[in-house]
Amino acid sequence: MHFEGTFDIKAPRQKVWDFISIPNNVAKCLPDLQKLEVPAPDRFKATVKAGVGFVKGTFNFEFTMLDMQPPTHAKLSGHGSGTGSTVDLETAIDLSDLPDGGTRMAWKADAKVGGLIASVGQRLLEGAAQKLVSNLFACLKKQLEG
Amino acid sequence: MIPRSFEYLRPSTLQEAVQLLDKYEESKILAGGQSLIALMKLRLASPKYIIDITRIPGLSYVKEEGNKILIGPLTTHDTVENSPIIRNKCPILSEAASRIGDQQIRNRGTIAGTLCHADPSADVPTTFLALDGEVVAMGKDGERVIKAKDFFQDFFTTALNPNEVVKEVRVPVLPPKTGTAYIKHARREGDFAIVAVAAIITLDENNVCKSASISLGSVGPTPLRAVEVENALVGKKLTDEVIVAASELADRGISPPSDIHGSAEYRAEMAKVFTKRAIRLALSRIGG
Amino acid sequence: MTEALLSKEIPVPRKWVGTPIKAKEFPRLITGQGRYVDDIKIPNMLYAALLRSPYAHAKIKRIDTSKAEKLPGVVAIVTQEDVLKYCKPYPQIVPPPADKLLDYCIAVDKVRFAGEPVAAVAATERAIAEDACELIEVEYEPLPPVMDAEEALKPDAPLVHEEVGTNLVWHEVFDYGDVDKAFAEADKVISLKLHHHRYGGAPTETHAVVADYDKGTGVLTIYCNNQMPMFCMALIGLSFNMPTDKIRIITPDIGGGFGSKILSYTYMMLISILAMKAGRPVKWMEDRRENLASGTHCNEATFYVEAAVKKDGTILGIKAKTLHDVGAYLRYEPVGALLWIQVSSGPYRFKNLRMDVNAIVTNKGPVAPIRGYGRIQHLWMLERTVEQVARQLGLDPIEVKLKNYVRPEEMPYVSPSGATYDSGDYPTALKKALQMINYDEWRRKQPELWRQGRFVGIGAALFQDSGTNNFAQVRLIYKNNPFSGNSRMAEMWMDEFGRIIVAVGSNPHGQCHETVVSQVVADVFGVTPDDVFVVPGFDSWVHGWTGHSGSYASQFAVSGIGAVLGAAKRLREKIATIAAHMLKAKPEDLEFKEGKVCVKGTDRCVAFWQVANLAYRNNLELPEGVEPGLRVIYTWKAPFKLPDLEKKTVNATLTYSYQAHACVVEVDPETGKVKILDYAVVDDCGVPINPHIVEGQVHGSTMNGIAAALFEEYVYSKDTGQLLASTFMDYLFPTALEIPDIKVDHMISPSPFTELGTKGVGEGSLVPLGSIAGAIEDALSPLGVVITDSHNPPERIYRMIKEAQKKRK
Repeated sequence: MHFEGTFDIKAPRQKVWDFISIPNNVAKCLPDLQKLEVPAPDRFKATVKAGVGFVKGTFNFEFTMLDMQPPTHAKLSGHGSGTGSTVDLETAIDLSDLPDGGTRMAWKADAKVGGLIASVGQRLLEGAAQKLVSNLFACLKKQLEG
Repeated sequence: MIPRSFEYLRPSTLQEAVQLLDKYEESKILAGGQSLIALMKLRLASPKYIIDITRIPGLSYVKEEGNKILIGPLTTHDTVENSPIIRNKCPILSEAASRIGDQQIRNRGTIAGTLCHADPSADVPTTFLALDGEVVAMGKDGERVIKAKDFFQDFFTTALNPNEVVKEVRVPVLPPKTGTAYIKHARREGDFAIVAVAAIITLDENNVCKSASISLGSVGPTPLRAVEVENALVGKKLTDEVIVAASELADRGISPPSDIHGSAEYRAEMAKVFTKRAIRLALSRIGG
Repeated sequence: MTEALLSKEIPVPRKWVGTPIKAKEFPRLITGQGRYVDDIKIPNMLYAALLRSPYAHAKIKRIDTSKAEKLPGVVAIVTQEDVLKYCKPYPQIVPPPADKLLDYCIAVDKVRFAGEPVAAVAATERAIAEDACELIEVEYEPLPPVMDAEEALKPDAPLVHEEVGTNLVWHEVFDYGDVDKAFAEADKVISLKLHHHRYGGAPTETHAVVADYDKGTGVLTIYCNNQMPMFCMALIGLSFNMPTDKIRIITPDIGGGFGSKILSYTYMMLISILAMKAGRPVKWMEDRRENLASGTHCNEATFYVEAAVKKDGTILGIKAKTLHDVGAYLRYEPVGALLWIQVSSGPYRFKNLRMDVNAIVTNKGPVAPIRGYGRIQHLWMLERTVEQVARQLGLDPIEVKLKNYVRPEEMPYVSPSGATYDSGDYPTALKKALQMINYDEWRRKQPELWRQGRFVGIGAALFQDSGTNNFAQVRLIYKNNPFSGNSRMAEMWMDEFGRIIVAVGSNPHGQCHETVVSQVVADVFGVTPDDVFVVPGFDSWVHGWTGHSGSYASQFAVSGIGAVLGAAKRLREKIATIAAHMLKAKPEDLEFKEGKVCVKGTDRCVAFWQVANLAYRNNLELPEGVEPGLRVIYTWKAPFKLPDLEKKTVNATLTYSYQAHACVVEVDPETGKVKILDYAVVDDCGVPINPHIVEGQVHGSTMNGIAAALFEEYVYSKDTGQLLASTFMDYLFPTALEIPDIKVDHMISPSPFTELGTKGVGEGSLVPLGSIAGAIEDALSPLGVVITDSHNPPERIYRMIKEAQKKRK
């Protein structure tokens, strides 16, 4: 599954960069965060609850920040498992200046889902994943502007 | 295929059920269990508390009151399918119930259960939306009426608060010169629909379309009303050209999912085809 | 009905053979009184659950079972480490380099398909075992999966088995007749690319095992529902390195198999290891998702076909390159890629055939010998080819088929590969099936229906069900394979009280062997089927067996009954000897009737119980030299020859049942959905022992074929390798509502190669794959649509229609 989007943030690029390069800030935007560990500045472990309606599962994720090119480009690679399923996530973020002093964030995400959810949840998976990923980025925007 | 462990609670009144819902987080009402138990066995859903309301008396009924049909939440699909009141006054609901799963499922599954489960591919929610039905929700602080258009919010998500239960389901007594049809495209009888359409058409004394209510199932996160199709019908004599032209608008505003039985593009095309067929069938059923 | 000509004298009266009596098994099975593996309870027994891979292809970096072990109720957990301690890899029957392929009963180092077992847990309750599976942490390193046979052959494709070094595990070319000459003389060459999809058996009862290891005696008892367990004994014995006399295998009632249950030896071993490690008996009952995901699908095949034809539709020769996607492990493969050799020219009489056969591993579930194993793919390919020959030449497909069929007077007919078709009248069968659907009437109406925009089409096909396999054909894969021919063992005795008991232990799973054996034996002894008791189930310590034993390859009516008849005659002879002594008559003057042995034409008789009493407890009155007791054993051997390894020819099966199917379908041009308007079958399985049971098999096979043609497909995600048809919500097992009424009629062409003229009928050949594809193509012929896939769900047909309409504009 591939998702992508672009949105503008009313904050300067450096501020956006500083914010998103801290695992704690990113983790706050994960759905229903249960637990967070940050063993290294570029790595964090998060336990989240995700799903649709009451169909929810607990996933243990390990995220790594890669290819950090301050303050323009970053990649976040995540690998999670739970509910008889696995999620492998690759996201990339590109930041650019806007004429009004704001920042444009272009993001891409590729998710590969395996196991139970992939095999029985086809009908819901894409919609649900799209929503989760969009919520994540919308939350980042909100936190930066708020 | 055995659920994770859970606590089993069996209230003797709906009020008590509401109290339990309020008291326990991650609790879930068990009615017919035809979707819930399957999901629990797959371990895709794991409520910590199961509140079994099936032994509460008086929750299965069908009554006519004014221009409404009142249906108890535990009324089974089989009862809905075969109720003379529903068959005569709101036949589309009976038709939708008859298309659910198989007889064993219809013997157990309940009307409030399928509405609360809010699967956009299920038969009754799509029909309920076309009917502009209502749900009476009961919570700690009393009751409220939720309209069908507000009830379905997302996949498996309704407007009910976590501590509310459905006390009653209401659908209208359909006016004279009304024809209805619920049809679905499925590979096997009883499957979840690839596309489902509920159509309710009312004509005036000159046989001009007075009102049209068309809803589509399995083309988005909730059942959806095909508003543009409805608008293209109302005020017109429903010639086949009008029906065909209107049906071409059925893919407006939908966001169908893809699975191995139908891609999003295919579902969009089938939405048009089945809208056309449902309207034709509904029209053909309007009595003199 | 064609004349029921019996080819040879039957030595006993035929009162019960041929009679449609109700099956003896039915009352117990349909009232819930059958006894299956899941009904077995052993004191102190544990329950197992398996943890399966969510990835289609990944390295296993670490398995941590510590949290699961701490869960109260968990007794033992087995992972790759334990399996390596207990087991050697399974032997492979392929030539190098694929003979190096490593296969165990659990994933070792890598997972190779989504759903492969990674760990097994035994606990005091199944629910606890499932909870424990969730606590096992497996760290995977995902690898790109290879999900397509053609992709798998590309040089840069990921390797499913690094130890083999290639995904091509078997390749062989078979050349019969003079193919080049046939193509040189052709008026036209027709080329096609075809794809035969994955579907399976989906039996009512999934795989099940109870393993009980007795430390005291060192005996491992495996209760299971494997349909060919004594063939598997070799694999289990070799892999466990355990003396086979210490392995006892028991099968109770079995709820369907369709070939899928041949592969359960991996589970038999895995649960046995769990039982040995736990020191307690362990039961494992597979759930439906596991059953669908774990393989046991049919061979998926892609064909590149060329047919050399004359203008009049005569087929001169066929060349086909076949790519069999066999999934992640070989298990029973590459036999499925070879078995076309049993039906090399199908029902047709062309002499020139070149098959370029390739078996390829991918990251899908391993395939199994599913109903119609290896032949259906080939027969379907031939059928599609012949129909396209007709259409491209502007001829009627039915006429072209009739023209090319083997003629009844040519029987027994030797096909290009040496497979000898024993008997039959293919043209008559097809015509009869067409009459049953009112073919002429539909053809007359068809142009008008097309004008009205109704896409109605007619299809007809005839497939053979080759039965009683010659194991020597496997030597065409691996010449040193120490397996050949076919055999069955039956034991029969009359007890001291004159009751007749038969132990044939054939692992039936719906074929009603108890009934048909009773019928055959009843005729030999002049009693009724109710007077014959057939020991249900199988126990390797009780029943005689050979490595060929089991229920598979459409053969019980030939091999099983061959053994039963042999034993019955032996027992009858002994009874006659004793009775002759008692009646002071010659054995040849005796007849068996109503539980007695009588001197023909007189009322001088002795009852069975009197003979039996003399044979056992009154044995001092036995004639001189007669051994006491009335118990015999007989081993039947199939009259086969070894293959000609140079010419690559072999008579690979003994009998050829066949079914001709004709149908009328209507395609909804707006949705692509196919509706069957009429369906007829003409079946010929030689002499039916019980026509009622044959009818059931015919219905079952037809339903199986309709299901495969229109409903059932194991769809995998190309991208992630996930199985997307993993429950009955998506793997569309049809119900009675989807299957039309099926008209059935029969012909009887006795096999000249079997004693009763019987032929195997169990698999029945899934002809709807051919007839429905043809009917859809016929319905859409105004649009020129060509059906190239064996599975045709609505969206696929819808897209073909739209594309054809676009082209026409």
